[in-house]
Amino acid sequence: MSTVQQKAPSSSYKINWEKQESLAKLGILVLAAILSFSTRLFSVLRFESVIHEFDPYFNYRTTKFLTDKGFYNFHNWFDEMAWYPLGRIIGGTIYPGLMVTSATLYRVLWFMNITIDIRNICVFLAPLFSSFTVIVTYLLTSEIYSTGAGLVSAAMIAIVPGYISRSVAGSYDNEGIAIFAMLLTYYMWIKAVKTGAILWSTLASLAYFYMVSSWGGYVFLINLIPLHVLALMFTGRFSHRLYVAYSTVYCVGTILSMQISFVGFQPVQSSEHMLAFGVFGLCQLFSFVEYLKSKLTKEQFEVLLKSITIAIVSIFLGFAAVLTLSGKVSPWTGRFYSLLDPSYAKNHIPIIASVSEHQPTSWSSFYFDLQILVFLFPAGLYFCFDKLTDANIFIILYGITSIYFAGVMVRLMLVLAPVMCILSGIAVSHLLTKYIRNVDTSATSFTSTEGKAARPDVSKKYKKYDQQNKGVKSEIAIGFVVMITFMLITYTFHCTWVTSEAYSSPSIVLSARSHDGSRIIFDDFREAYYWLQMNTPEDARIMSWWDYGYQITAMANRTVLVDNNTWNNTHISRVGQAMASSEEKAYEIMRELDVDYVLVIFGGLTGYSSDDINKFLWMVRIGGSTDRGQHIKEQDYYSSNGDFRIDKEGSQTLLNCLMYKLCYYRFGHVYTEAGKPTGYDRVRGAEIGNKDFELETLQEVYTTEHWLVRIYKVKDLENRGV
Amino acid sequence: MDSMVRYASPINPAIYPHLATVLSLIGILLASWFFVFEVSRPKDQKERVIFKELSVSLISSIFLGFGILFIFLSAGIYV
Amino acid sequence: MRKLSIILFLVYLINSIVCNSIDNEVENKNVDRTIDITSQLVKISYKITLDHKSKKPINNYVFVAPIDDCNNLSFISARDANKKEIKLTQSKTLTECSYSMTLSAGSLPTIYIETVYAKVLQPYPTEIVQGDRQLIRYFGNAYFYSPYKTLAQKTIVHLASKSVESFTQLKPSSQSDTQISYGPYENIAPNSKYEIVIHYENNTPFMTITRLERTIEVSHWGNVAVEETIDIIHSGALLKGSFSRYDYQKDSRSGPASIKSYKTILPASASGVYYRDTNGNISTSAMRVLKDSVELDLRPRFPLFGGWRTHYTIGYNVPSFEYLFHKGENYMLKMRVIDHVFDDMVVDELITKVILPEGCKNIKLIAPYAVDRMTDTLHYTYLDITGRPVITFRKTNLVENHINDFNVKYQFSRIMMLQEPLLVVVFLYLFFLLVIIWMRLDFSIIKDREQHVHKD
Repeated sequence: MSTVQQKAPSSSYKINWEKQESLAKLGILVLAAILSFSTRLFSVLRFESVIHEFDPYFNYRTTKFLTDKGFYNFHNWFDEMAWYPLGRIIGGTIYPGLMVTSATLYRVLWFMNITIDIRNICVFLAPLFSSFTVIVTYLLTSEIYSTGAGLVSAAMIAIVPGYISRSVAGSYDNEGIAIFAMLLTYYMWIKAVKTGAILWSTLASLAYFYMVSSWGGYVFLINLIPLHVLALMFTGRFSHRLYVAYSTVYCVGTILSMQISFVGFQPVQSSEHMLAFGVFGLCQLFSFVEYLKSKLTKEQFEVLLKSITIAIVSIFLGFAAVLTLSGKVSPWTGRFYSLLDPSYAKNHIPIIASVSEHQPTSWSSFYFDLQILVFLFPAGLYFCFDKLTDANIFIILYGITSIYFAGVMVRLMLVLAPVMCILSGIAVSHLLTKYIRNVDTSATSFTSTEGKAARPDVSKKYKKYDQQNKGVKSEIAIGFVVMITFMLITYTFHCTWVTSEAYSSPSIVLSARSHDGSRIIFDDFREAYYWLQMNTPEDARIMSWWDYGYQITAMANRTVLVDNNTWNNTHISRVGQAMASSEEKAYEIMRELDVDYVLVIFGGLTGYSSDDINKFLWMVRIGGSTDRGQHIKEQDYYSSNGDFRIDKEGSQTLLNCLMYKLCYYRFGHVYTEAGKPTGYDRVRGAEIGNKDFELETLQEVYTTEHWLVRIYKVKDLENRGV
Repeated sequence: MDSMVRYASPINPAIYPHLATVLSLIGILLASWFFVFEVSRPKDQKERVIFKELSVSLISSIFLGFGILFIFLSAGIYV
Repeated sequence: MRKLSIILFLVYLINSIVCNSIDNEVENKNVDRTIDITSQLVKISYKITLDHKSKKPINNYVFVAPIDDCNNLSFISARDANKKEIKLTQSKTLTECSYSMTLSAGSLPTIYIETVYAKVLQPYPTEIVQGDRQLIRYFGNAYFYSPYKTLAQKTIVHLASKSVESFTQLKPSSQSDTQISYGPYENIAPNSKYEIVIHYENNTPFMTITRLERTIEVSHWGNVAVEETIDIIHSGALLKGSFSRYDYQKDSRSGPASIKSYKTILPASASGVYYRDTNGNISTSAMRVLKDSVELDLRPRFPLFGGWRTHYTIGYNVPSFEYLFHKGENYMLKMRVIDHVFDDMVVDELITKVILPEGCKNIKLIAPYAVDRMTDTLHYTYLDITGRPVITFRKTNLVENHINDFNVKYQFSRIMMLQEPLLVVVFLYLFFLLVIIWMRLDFSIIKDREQHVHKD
């Protein structure tokens, strides 16, 4: 431990001091870890231990399968319940890290006779891993900057909303463990770069393997690490330590990552991984050149260098061109283009653009998710630039790249949040360390009553990082410390508020306030899914918009046509066409697709705004995007003024399409709001335009209590001659 | 049958939460003392402190063990 | 060995024939029969006054049910004039099953018999649309079916409602309000049958519990946890056509045969009640604590129409002092084999599991009626090493009258209660020891760096 280097007045004092220090460290870390776990439990306390949203239901279902049937069956699982009649090879099309993690946890606990339900493990996995993330963040930041900064950033990441949004209890998704895996990889990588030890490099590649197995976002990581190496090369910081670290990480990591069947040969074939490969080659060349340089005279060397450079570059370019043209190197995928060019997806792939989390981030959501970190981030960057080290360069690169990606896609806010915390931790720690020394003792005791400000006591000892020893007046120092403390306190309040208000609703159970202030719970989704599970034939096929596919297979245990794994555009498009066509046309499509039941989400009675009518334009766009859907034109669904209206003004195509009819069947008789006519849609705020119609080819079989989910049965063909 | 009496728990279930809090708090305090001691123990003086460590950890584990038991009981997991 | 068993079987056969031999001199002097078909069950109670032609004391009497009824007969009990229970011996032939009873010498020759039949009432029509009433047909016998001559008899049928579509006439018979009466008939020969059909409206819940798994977990820390997993099907007339939520909400009387909610009665001391299914908590239920019970108003996630099914789990805790008794190391658990789920329930299959604490010995089960005891198993959960013994037994075709106590006797040493906390203590102590040892180990290959720093 570096503290022994300090001069100690007496041995007894020294032990005491050390004890205090480790107690404070231990205490802060444990508290931060506990806090990060418990702040994510809002939804469990308010509702119940339940899985949220859409994707987590798929993960939950696969995890259950894994724990029931074992890994090999899971690996070879062909799921006939999704994408009827195509089916889906689950084992080869998912990142199994999450499922394997929770299944392992489950097995270990059951081995110790701790009989926890697998659902509860799934619900609490993300909070658990966020506690681990807190510890890893501490380690990473202390490795990069200082222990004090580590503690501050650990405390910050414990409650940062940008990360909480994806890791609340019940949000059982890949990201929940991937952030931990990512930071762990970074920590190992920094260690490896610092020591140049094969041990750390191997550990880094193992961590990288875990990351690859758990999230598609590993691509960011495998580009960031080479970028770091490249940056170090250009800044003349290339060393044998770096050479050892990167060579080991790349070789071992790539081989390991290819073991994941979903990744397969992508690490050597796809263009997204080419940077890593290129840098690996460059590393070899660079060190070879260094070697030659040490052996040859200057003139000989320059001639050699020029010729070799030209030869290699031309060979490389030719090779790359041949591979790309011959299709060995996969072309750039759409999702990747949309990272580089935010408008790409919107113009080309409606199915990617239709997902809300693929939208570009707005400025307000930066502040909403990160609050003061947005302002502390540049300061942290400055302090890193101020004292460049190999590790600092890494964190700078990580910060700058991730802020770009977070701007492109809302979802990637998640990648930005940790680096924001790390850099802000560095900034806060640095500033407080600087100013708190000029605060006299009485002021110190004042600030240390605040939980956050106690940390500078610890970081105070790391004076060696503080180069500017200019004193400031004690008043200014006090003022500054108070200000920072105030900011940190507002940060905690903001985070708690955001977590509790925005990120803690399970979205499977909705709640609203009634007129007298009591809470009403809309449990319609589970009602409908449970009805399907109990009262339809086991092999019934259910058509719904793809959003609900995962939930139906997981909760209703029934076969669906399309689900959230949007791999087959034409199939989804076919469903979109059915929804957008008239009833007769739709019946043909549904017969063709072998549909037994149709499920729609309708919020008009309760005012639930993300229902199928509001998503309908996407169905039209996606439905019209393929050859067979040429007859579906977005223009036909707009009123003459060019608006999307469901009242009398709306276009006739819209008022007679299947989705409209299914949503509003018999709704025309219902009074929804006082003083409004029957059939008043509370989401669109309009009286529906087509009230009296009967369904010819479908039959209402179930509608939930608040009309949120409506289920129809597709009638059989009529008997001939009747 | 007639000679049998009603069976109640040896400890009144109403005080399980209190027992859980008190016992595990004492246990945690002792355990954290132990850990801090372990982490910041100088390497040179090895033999003198072993008994201290052993006894503190024993007491701590007894308190924590019963504390955990009563946490289980008060949480509704009746072992 | 084989010969012996054949002889034993013959002895048994002769014995049963002797027992069932019907004394032709015995006559049913008067029979009052009440048929209650107000719910989904058919409850028939008889008051039989006997007479002996030769005025001898009657030792033996046989009650006979035709084979069709016999399969649906869930429950039968007989009492004498002093309301004391009489033991019944069942025997079955191809055409009927008979219950013979031995009457005590001194008792008055009056017998009360109570029978409950499940699944006898047939919906007709078998499929109805949402708004329709549920019409039920009851097939019965106008006469009291008996191997003895019946001198006088009268039957009263209680119906669920006034509206009767039709009923078989057999003079004298009449309908008044919700009652139909048959009789009095006189001098009916033994084994007479005259089929009657009553077609009437019955909108009471027709629900069958197809499977009920009841788990009782005993903890010596003062708690008994009960959990019931229930599969229910609406066994009335099937729903034809569509279910319209609009109609259902517009008119509270719409869907008269559907089941919106029902009441489950739990023991008065029940606490920590939960009601959930495979998708999580079912938030629609209300609990009312009454003086002698806890009443749960359970609403399934969706209303049950004919043919719809649901599945759920309900659980609660009760304190041990109400159900567990002891003397020294001998313990006795006294709990219900099955508990109330809803009024007039029908249970196809019941599986009751009793999980006893770890380390129980000499376990004995005393059931109130014949049950199939399954093989004992072990259950592993929190802080177990050797596993908790589980006693499982099964019974089919149950009704409310089967709510009765069973006893489980076992031996348990109190010291064993300390096993669980000590397990945690040992585990933690091992962990601490590991830390102590870990801190004393030095894994570094290069030894001198640390010492070097100290020398400075």
